[in-house]
Amino acid sequence: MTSDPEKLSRRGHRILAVLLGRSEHITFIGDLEEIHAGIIREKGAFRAGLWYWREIFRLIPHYIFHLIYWSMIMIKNYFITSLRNIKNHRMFSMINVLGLSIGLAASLLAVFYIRDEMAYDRYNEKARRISRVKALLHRDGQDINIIGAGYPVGPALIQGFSEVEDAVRFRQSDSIRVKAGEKSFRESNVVYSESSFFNVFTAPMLRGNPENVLSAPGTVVISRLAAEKYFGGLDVLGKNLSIDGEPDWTVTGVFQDIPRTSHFHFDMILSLPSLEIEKDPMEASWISFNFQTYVLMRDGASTAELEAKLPSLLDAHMASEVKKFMGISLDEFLSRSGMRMSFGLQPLLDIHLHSHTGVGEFEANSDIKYIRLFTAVSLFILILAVINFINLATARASGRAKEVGVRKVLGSLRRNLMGQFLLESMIVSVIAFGTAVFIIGFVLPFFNRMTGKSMVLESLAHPDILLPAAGLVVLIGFLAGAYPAVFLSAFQPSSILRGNLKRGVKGGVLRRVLVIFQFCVSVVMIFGTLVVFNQLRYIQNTSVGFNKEQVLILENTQLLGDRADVLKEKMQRYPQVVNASLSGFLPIPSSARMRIPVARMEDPEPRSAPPIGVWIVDHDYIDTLEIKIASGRKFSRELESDSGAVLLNQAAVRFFGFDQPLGESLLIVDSSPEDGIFQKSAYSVIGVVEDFHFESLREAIKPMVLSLGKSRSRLCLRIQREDVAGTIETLRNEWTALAAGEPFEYSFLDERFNRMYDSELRVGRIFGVFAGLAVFIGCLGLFGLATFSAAKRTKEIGIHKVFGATAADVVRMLVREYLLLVGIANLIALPIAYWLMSGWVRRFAYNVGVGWVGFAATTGLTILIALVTVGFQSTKAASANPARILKYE
Amino acid sequence: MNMLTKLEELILLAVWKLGEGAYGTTIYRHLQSVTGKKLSLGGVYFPLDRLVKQGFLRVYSGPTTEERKGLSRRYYQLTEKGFEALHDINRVNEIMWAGFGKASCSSGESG
Repeated sequence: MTSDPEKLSRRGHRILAVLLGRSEHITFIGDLEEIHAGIIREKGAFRAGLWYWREIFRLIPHYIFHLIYWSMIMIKNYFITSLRNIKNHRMFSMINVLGLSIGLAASLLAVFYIRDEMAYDRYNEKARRISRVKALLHRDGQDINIIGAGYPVGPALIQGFSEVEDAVRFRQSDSIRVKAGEKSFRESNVVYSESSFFNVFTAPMLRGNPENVLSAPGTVVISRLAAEKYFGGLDVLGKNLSIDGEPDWTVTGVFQDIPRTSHFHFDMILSLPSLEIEKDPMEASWISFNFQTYVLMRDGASTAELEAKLPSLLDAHMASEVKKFMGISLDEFLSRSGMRMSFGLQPLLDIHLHSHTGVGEFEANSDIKYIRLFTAVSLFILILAVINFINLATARASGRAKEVGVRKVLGSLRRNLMGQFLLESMIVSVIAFGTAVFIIGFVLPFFNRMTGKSMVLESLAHPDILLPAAGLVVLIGFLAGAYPAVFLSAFQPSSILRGNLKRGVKGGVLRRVLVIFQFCVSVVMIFGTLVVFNQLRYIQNTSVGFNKEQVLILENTQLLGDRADVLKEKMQRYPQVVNASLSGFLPIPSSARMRIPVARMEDPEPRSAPPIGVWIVDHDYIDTLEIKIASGRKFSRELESDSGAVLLNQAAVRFFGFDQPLGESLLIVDSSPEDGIFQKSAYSVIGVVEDFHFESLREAIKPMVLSLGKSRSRLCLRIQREDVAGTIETLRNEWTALAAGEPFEYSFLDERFNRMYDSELRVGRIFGVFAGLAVFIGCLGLFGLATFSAAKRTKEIGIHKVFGATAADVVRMLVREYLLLVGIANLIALPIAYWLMSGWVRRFAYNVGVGWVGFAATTGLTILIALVTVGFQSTKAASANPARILKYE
Repeated sequence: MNMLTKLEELILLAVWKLGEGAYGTTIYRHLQSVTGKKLSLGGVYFPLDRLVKQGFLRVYSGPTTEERKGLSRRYYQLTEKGFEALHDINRVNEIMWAGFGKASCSSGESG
């Protein structure tokens, strides 16, 4: 610090001039210089220079504090004025707070929902490094995603690629019957897998050694829940479980229950070696897709690179095995079956939201579409509420203009006024947030039931939710306040206070446009709700080709073996039972399905014929389900030859191109080859059944073949309408007599059938709720505007009445304007709604279309609602005594 | 009563003590010698400014010196409101501090 102190000083002065006001810094510098001079005298120039600069830097925090101090005083003033304004216009504030809080609550629920959906599978510590093998089959113009790979794929990936750290294979299992001592339950969340599961996924072992728990055949690892269910505690190592009648399964480990936010929820994992896959060459081959295979990449390894190398590995092995099993080359096989194949890797974190078409999923996954739909509608609700705020603010502009004028005359800058208005909307937004939290606390249980989640209000305090929430509050405060702030603060005080404020033409037009927009949203949502529920009603009422009412389904009858027939005969003797049939093949989801190649007799290569559905049924199947025969006859007990007969549905007749199907023959290729040789047998067609919907109505009815045989996993009973409970009790007694200790599980065919449309029902409900909210918020706004304009026009109304207008005339005058707006909204929104919803409806191969009734109902409903909302205020204004109104002139 | 910060209170007292001679430099030096702390000039200046705006102090210009490079002094004087505020503080202090001189760590007023 040897430089000239004078020069230093001047540079310091410039800083001070910036920080302090122009006039004020002079005295400050004066004092500074005086003290500086004193220090130079006492301690020398160097120390004085140091002191001088230190003072300048130490000034800065004081300066900042000073700024905050004064702005706080200003804000305090804004705050008081804002609260006064909010209190003095109670109705408007209520409308704003109510609307905004509903909008906020809806958006916050969306945030809750999205956060929960995004959390899936993230509990896995190595989640980012896990992906699974998927195959894409392309056939007959259809893409089929298959989640699965051949048995050898997992180990081959570990050996062949250094970037793969580990892999785990799963083999899905049907539900199993588990017994431990007296306790017997049916378990459906069961899978076969290997020890590496505990390395790849995060499922902490509570008992047992994760290295080798599943290495030996006949071993099983169970969840904590299952351990407590069967053994009442966790010390279960070495204990025995009986699974599907085999008593010698040993429990080798207990793992922590898998979290709710997982795409699988296994309660029991049986060891893969128990399946003895190697004994079945077809099952152990590269060309099966039965093993869900998950890969754990090494840290930093690229999944994309592995994905690129995958096809070469798989193609080579598959080619040799196709040759081995089918005697033809892979290319030949593919070209003959018209099939294309490709393989890929799907990241674990994509599974929950982006994987829903696949075959081989453990559970039904969610869909990113729900997130989008939900976000969109909740944002719309929020926008509607913001519009209310803007509309009411501009409508009140003339009332507040005087306030603006006076403030401006008294020296408020435009900036100050904008701050004032923005703060006001921020305060309303914060109050609305408080109310929204209240609303959420109230509706969360219902919301949980609707979405099948279990979210809690406490997670509101979590930064994942709190930050977006805070952001929303500020955003809404800003959006709602910005336009009024700009609009109102622009008034010229001279013209306002002279009393000739130009009637805010701009405000009026904007208001109308916004009201139209609000009702457009309501119209689209009402229309959407109507269409969805109309389609659902159609699905429930449409003839599905069989009679789904009054059919009782009993599960697990295969446990009885041959005695299943005894049970069937016994039940048939009861008068309440009209008919009974044993078959696992039912027109409901999760029933048995078999797709095997079926070919016309003259087909030279029947093995590569496209597989179609073959259902194994008994003699009473057609009568029990009341499936209609289109031509020919049903299976007959009298004719021995019917064991070699089949029934076709009409789609199959078209598929095979039969003109006269009766008497034709078909080749059915046995799907499980013995020693690599396929069996094929000829069946003659004895009848044709009318097409019936055995899949959801989303899909067109596919060709299928009914064949006589023994499939005993379910017993269907067509029962009388009366005393259903008694019938079930009878069935239970018969079941217990034959299969003591086995679980008694039954369901109704129509319920199982309708459950296929749960996701549509959910969309319908979300739409319905949000449509209701949209309409409610729109009406709140309309109510506010109507109140306001009725109040402003009291004199006009009074004069009208003095000159002989009736109350009805006045009401008509007041209501007309709003009805016009709602009408325009309908005109604009209905085409949009039509376009949107016809897209939705097209997802169903069988649909009612969008329907003209929907248009009429939507328009009628919106107009009626608007009338009721506006009419109340208008009638009140119109029925006032003109003498009283005009007296004050 | 107005709740002033301790610093504001000390500044008002310093202005009163210094009487005719109360301007930035003297107030700063006085406070520094009384408190024994290395105060920042800004830390004195901004509160002074605030006290003027709030009406506790009034300002008048005074002569300059060679050392001040010709920049005028700003003298401060207590206003009526300033005196009142100090009296209030004094009253409250007397009530609050009554008997404290004899107090020791172990005993509070009540027990």
